[in-house]
Amino acid sequence: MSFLTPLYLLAGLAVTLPIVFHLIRRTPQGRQVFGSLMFLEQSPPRMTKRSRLDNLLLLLLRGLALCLLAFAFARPFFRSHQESLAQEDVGRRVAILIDTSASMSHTDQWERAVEEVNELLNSVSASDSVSLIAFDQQANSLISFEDWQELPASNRQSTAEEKLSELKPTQRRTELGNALIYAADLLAQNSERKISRRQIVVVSDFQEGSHWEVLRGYEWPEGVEIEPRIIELENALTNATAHVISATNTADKDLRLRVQSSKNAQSETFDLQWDRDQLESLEASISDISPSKTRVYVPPGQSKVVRAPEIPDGLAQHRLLLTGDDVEFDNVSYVAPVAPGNVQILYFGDPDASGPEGLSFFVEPIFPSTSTRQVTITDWDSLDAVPDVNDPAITLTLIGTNCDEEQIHWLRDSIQSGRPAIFVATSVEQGMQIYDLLEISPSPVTEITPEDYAMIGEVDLTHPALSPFDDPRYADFTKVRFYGFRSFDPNSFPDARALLSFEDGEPFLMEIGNRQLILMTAGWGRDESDLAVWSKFVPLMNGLLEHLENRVEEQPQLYVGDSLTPALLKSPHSEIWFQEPEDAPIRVTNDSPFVLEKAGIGKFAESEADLNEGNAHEIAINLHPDESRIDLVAFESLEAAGLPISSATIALLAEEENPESSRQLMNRELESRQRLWQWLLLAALIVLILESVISGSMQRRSGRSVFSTQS
Amino acid sequence: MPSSSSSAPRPYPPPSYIDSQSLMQIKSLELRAKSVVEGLMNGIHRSPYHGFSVEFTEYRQYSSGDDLRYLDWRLYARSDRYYIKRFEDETNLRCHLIVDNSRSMTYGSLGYSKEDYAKTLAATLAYFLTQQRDAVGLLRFSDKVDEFIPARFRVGQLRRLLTSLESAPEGTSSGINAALEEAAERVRKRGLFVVMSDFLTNVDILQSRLGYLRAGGNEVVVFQVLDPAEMSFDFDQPAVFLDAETGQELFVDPEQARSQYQRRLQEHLDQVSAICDGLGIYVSRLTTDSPLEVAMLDFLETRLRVTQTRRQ
Repeated sequence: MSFLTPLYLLAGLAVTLPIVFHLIRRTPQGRQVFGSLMFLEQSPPRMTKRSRLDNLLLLLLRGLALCLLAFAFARPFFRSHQESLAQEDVGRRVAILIDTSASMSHTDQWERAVEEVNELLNSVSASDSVSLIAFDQQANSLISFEDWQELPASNRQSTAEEKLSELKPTQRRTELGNALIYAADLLAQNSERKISRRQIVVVSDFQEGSHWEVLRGYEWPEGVEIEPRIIELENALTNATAHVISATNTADKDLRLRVQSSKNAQSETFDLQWDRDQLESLEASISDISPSKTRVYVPPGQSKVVRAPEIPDGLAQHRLLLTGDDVEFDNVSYVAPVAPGNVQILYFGDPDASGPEGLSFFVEPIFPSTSTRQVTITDWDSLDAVPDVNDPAITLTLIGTNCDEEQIHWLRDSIQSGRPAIFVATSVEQGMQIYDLLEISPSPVTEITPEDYAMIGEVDLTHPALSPFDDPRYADFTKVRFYGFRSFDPNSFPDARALLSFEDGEPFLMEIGNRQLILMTAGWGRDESDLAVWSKFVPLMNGLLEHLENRVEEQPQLYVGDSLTPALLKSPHSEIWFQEPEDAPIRVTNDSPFVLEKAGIGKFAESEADLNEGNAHEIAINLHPDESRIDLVAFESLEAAGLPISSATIALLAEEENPESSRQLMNRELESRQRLWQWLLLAALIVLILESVISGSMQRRSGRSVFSTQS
Repeated sequence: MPSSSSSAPRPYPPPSYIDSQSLMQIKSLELRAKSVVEGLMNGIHRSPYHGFSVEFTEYRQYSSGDDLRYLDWRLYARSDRYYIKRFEDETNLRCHLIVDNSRSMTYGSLGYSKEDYAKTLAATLAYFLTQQRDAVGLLRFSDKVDEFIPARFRVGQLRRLLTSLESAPEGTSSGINAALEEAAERVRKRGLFVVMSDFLTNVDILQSRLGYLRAGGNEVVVFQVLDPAEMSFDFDQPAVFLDAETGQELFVDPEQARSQYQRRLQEHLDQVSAICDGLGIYVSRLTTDSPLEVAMLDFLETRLRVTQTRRQ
């Protein structure tokens, strides 16, 4: 038998206490005034024969209880040969996490990280179980615990080093929290082998923007330790980064950037410059008088919004370089210029109506040109020849008059070809033409003239064209008045969706089927309605235009590591082709997203052919802004979140290799398995209960006798 | 012959006597004294000790040879018998009560102390003697003489004595030897000295001091007042015993110490008895649970014996 904590046996000396208590049982219970002490002498406390005989059992029980307690605290265990042999297998279970995020690519950080991991691998013993996990935005297991165990002991280290040598830092951001959770879950799993210690060793720069905050809500498994190996940057490096606030087009001279500086920055002045060709020419291009360069002053730890320098003509790649800091990996920002879209509206209107009572008076103000689109409104009557019905330049048709046969024929083909149209029913006769256009059997159209005026009663705010109004501040549609409108038979358009309806339920604005046709039952002429002077009219019509055109004004900001889908790019198609910089095009659907790996200008198009023919949309992919926050994370915050971070790493590893420590470890394992102390405690408890019972009965008896003596 | 007391149990008192504990419940010392005396006087008439009192012992018939100066002519005129008037001279007794007021007397295991008992005894004697028209004085002492009231028979003497007895003790230790010496010096006329003390003190020079009193032709009666617990030492728990007089502390296990204590106490008592016997002093040893009437009867008995002895 052995003891885990033999010093506790010294507590067994407490067994002398009951003996002493029994000896001094007759110590003074109080003070007694007496007439004279001239006939008395001091009595030494001693045990009378009578008391010894009476309390011997109690003494034995009390002594036994104390001995059992001391024995239990000493944590005894039996050391058998078989168990000792079994214990030889006990080893650590170590998950080595290596940071491969973009920030690790700075200078020699990656080499130092690899060196650190190699050093760790050298220190593991044959009984240890190791898992090598690379992490950036997601954790990627290079070698699992099972793989490690299956490998021959002699090959383990070389295999791990080989895997490590294939590894390179990516351009993704760091998700330290998720990686730790992944590793902790792995370690918390039960293992068939005996484990002396569960440990996560994290080799990382522990940057501030490493997204560890998810750990706050995670219950850290018991017994799993974290050992940080910090690949520190050289003292107080200055890092600054520029991020494009919003995408812009080539005509926009006011590209705005947010320039951010690190907390420990030594320098406060940075330069922003468009990269003309290659980075090699950077030195030559920088001069204080260059118009393509902007100098910006940002104090440490602060950020500033600045205008980007003017984009020089003929710039193919829109790479904005930031210079003046020490860390280079995040100094390039990519900007994808968006060419303004051309919108051509073919208008079928009454040529005689030139005043505010006619539609054409307001058509141009309704669809103004903006920085992202160039709107051209062409009157059918002004055309010299009938345009090709498949002309892609014509975006939309706007029908607001009685059309002749030729026009109806052309429009019918146009609608059938999928070109969107807005049909404004200005009269009953003109309204009837919609049936011709859609080639459906006509139904009567009724002219409605309310007594005073009609108002909008129902609004379908779920429709994409109306969703911008889905806010209590903008959802009031009661201001506009209608003095007359046309009522269509609802059964005529079974697949129609009413976007706006009058108070009596008659629709004002309908989207008919998938034919990209919008039917308005009232026009915006001033004698028919107040639409033209209604504040929501222009946004409403432009919303309809965008909806029909399927045009996206602004693409989202994309970062390396994002999952690209057609939905993310607001594409109406469920499938697009995407080409990463310097990479082959691939097909991307909503179900099979593509994870962005490289920063740069990516291209996407509806088909592979469009991509190859240069009809692609460009989109900028940048490093995640958080990756630039390279100041060291506050470890106090990590510890406050409940992470068991150990610092004395080397000392612990050295201790592990010590044979004395391993013997201690083995003993601990044996003891924890046998748990003899629990039985000893139980025995002590039983003895104490017995003692209480006996003592109580004796007390009662002696209490009676004392009382009788006193009385 | 002067008789000495013995520690053997007495055949009396009969149960009709007032219980000491009940008596001590009475707050007024005077009332206590009256209760004892009157109870005793009532009892005397019925008791076999009829005639033991001072008054009754001093009346006797004329016999030939008696001095005619002492013939009570007034009584002769009424009864036509000759009675010797001598009793007036004899009954003009001068009695001094010497009461120990030291701290050791404050001990008591029955709810009242030896001092209470001694005071009551003194008050009873004073009252009784005053009733008998005797002159009574008082000497209270502790480590020194606290108060001395010469023996008088006059109005207010009893009140004065009782007031003095009720006053609080002043000293600490017992200076019985000094008190006896001073009593012998102050009291010039012969008389009776009744000493009430526990005599728990060094008895080396007690003999000489008592001897002073006796040498002056005085009668001395000693009441040694002790608590029953002091006699039996029947404590059952070990405790730190605190000396009431000196403040000395001593851890004592009664079971161990009892036999030795009793032996030493008995030796001491024997010494006191031996000293008194040697001087012809009557010693009455009283425990505080014994009725005061016993003490009174002891006193009267002693007086009777003294008178008889003298008469013989």
